[in-house]
Amino acid sequence: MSQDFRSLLRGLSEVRTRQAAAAAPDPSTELRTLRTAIRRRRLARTSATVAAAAAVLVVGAVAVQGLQRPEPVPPAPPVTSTSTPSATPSSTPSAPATTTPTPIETPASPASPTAAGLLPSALPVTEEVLAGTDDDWIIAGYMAFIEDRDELATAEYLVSPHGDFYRLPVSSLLVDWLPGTSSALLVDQAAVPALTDVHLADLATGHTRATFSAPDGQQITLAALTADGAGVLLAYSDLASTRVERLVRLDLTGHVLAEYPGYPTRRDRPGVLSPDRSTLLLEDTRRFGALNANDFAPVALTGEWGTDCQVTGWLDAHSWVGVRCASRPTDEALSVGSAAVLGEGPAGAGPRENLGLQHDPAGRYLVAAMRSHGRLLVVRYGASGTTFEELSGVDGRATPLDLPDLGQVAVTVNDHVLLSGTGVNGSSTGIIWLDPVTGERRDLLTLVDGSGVYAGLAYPAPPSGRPLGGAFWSTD
Amino acid sequence: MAGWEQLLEEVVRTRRSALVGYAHLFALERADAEDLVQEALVRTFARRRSFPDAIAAEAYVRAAIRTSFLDRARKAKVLAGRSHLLADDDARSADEAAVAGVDVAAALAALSPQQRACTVLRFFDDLPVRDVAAELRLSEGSVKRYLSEGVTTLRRILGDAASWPSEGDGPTVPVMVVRRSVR
Repeated sequence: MSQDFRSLLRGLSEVRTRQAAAAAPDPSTELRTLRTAIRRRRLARTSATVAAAAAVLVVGAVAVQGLQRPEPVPPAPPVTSTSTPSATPSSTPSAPATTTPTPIETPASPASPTAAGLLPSALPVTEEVLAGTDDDWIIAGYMAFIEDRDELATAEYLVSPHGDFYRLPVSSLLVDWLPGTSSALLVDQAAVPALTDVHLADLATGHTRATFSAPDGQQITLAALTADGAGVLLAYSDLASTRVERLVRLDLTGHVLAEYPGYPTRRDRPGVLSPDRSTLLLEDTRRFGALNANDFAPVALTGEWGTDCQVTGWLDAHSWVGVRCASRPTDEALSVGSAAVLGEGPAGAGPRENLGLQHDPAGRYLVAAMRSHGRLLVVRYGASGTTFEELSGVDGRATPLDLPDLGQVAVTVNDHVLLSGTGVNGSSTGIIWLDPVTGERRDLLTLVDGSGVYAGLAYPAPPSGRPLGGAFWSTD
Repeated sequence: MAGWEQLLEEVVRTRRSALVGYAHLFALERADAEDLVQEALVRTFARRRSFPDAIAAEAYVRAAIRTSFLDRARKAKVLAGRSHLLADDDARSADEAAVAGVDVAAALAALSPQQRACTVLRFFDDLPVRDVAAELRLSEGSVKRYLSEGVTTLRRILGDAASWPSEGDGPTVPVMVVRRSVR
C-alpha cells in the first residue's frame, strides 16, 4: 500500500526529530555557546559599521602620526608634470559656499551611566591635559555590551603613551583630532553609511562649535582638520556613485577658501592625506596626482604611475609614497614634490626608488616604513598577519624581525608602533605599544571578553591603505 | 535577561529537536543538520530583529536553515569545481539508493542539493512553486525543473511505495513564509 509522499516526508522528519531529542546536548551548555556566538556576531556587526564610517572618511581613525606637526604650509607654486591633475584649482572661488555651518553650543551626550562599571576607569579630560598632548597620544574608541540589558555602551578615551586614560565627553564617532589642541571632528553614528554632516567639537567640553553639511544629494567622504587647525578639508561625493563632486577647504565659519573640481575615484577613496596634512594624493581613476592641501595647487609627482598602480600609503610626512604596480614585481617608493633623499647611504637619492621588496607571496602589502633605533624597517600587512622587516639597502634584502604577530599596525611613532591587537578569531584585543627592535611591549588598553561584558575596539583601526607616519629620513 | 535571549532559550528548549529533524531533510548527516540549526539560530538572533513570539522566531530559523543549506551547497559546488578531492552529494549512485526500497532518506540522498531543497519546500512545507522560487532565490523555471527531475528520481527509487499529489494541489497546511531582507 502506498503512502502519500508528503506523509512519508513528515514521518521521516518525525523520526529524526525523536532521534535528535534522544541525543540532544545539555540545553544550558548549548545556549551558552549560542549566546556567545550571537553576541560576537552582533558586536562584529556593530564594529564593522563603525569601522565602515571611519573608512569612508579617509582620515579615519584618530591615531596620531609620528611626526612633528609642521607650521602651516605656504602655498606651493604649481609645478608642471605629466602626472599632475589637469584641473585648475581655484583659491578664490566665485561660487558661494554651499556649506552651512551652524555654530551651536550643545553638549554632546555622555555615554550611558549604566556602562560606567564596564568601561575602563578614567580621569576626566581637561583643557590643560589636551594642550599638553603630542604625537605620542592616541584616542581610542571602546564599545561594550551590557549583557543584562542588551545595551551597547560606547566611550572615547584619550590615552597617554604610558596607558593613562582620560574620558572624553563625546559620544559621536570621532574622525579627526589635532594633538596639542581640543579641536576634533565628529560624525553621528546614526548617519552611517551616508555621512552628510561633520561636527567640529571641543574635546574638553564636548560642545559642538559648528556643523558642516554636504550639499543636497551628496555625502562627505573625506573630513580633516587643516594643519593649522583653522579650517577643515572636505570632499563631497555623489550619493549614488564613487565620484567626488568637489574638494573644499573651509574656514571655521564655513567660508570656502579653496576648492577643486570633481573627479572619479578608485576604491571609493577621494584621496590620501599626508600625515602632516600638507598634501593630498588623489585617487583619481584617470591619473595619479597630488595637491597642496592648503590651496589645491598641483604638486609634482616624479616617476611613472600607471593605472595598474595602487598607493599603499605615505611612507613619511609628505615626501614619499609607497606604491605597488601590477606590472612590476616589487614595491616602490615614489617622490612627491621636490626631490628628496630616501633612507640613508645605499638608498641613495633620486626621484623614484625601488625598495626592492618582492611582492609577498602571502599577499601582504607595504603599509609603513620607519626608522627605529637607526634601523630602517618596513611593515607589511595582509590576511596572513603583520611582519616587520629590516631593509639593508635597496638591493632587495629584507630580513624579517623575530616578533610575534600581535595585530595590525595602526600608527608608527618615532621608534615604536601602536598596534590594534588581534585575537585568534580575528577579534580586537586592545591597543599594544611595541618597539619592534627591542621587542618591548606595553598593553595600553586590554579588552574584556568574559562574563557579562563583550567589548570591542573601534579605533585605532585603520582602513586599508590608510597613511601611516614613517621615519624615512628625507630632506627637501 | 534580554528579550532576544528569552526567545532564544524558548526556541532551543522547546523546538530544537524539531528544527534538527527539519534540517535533516536537507542535510544527509545529523551532525550537518545540527550545524545548520546552530548557524541558523546565530543568523536569526545576531540581527536586532523583534519577533512577536517563539513561533515567528522559529519560522525565521527554518528559513535560515534553508538559506544556509543552499549557501553551503553552492560553496561545495564551487570547491568541487576546483578540486576532485571533494565529493558532492550528487556522487551518490542511483543504484545505491534504489536498494533502499521505501527508505525515503536514501531516496532524498539521491537528489542534488537543489532538487532536495525544492522537494522539501514543495512537499514538506507545502509551498507553491512561486514561493519556493522566492525562498531559494531561484527562478520559477529552475524550481520546476528541479522538482521534475527530483520527482522522477524519487518515483524511480520509491516505486509504488509512494503516491504523488496531482499537479494542482496547493498547500495543505498554513505556513509562515518569512521574507528575508537583502544581505
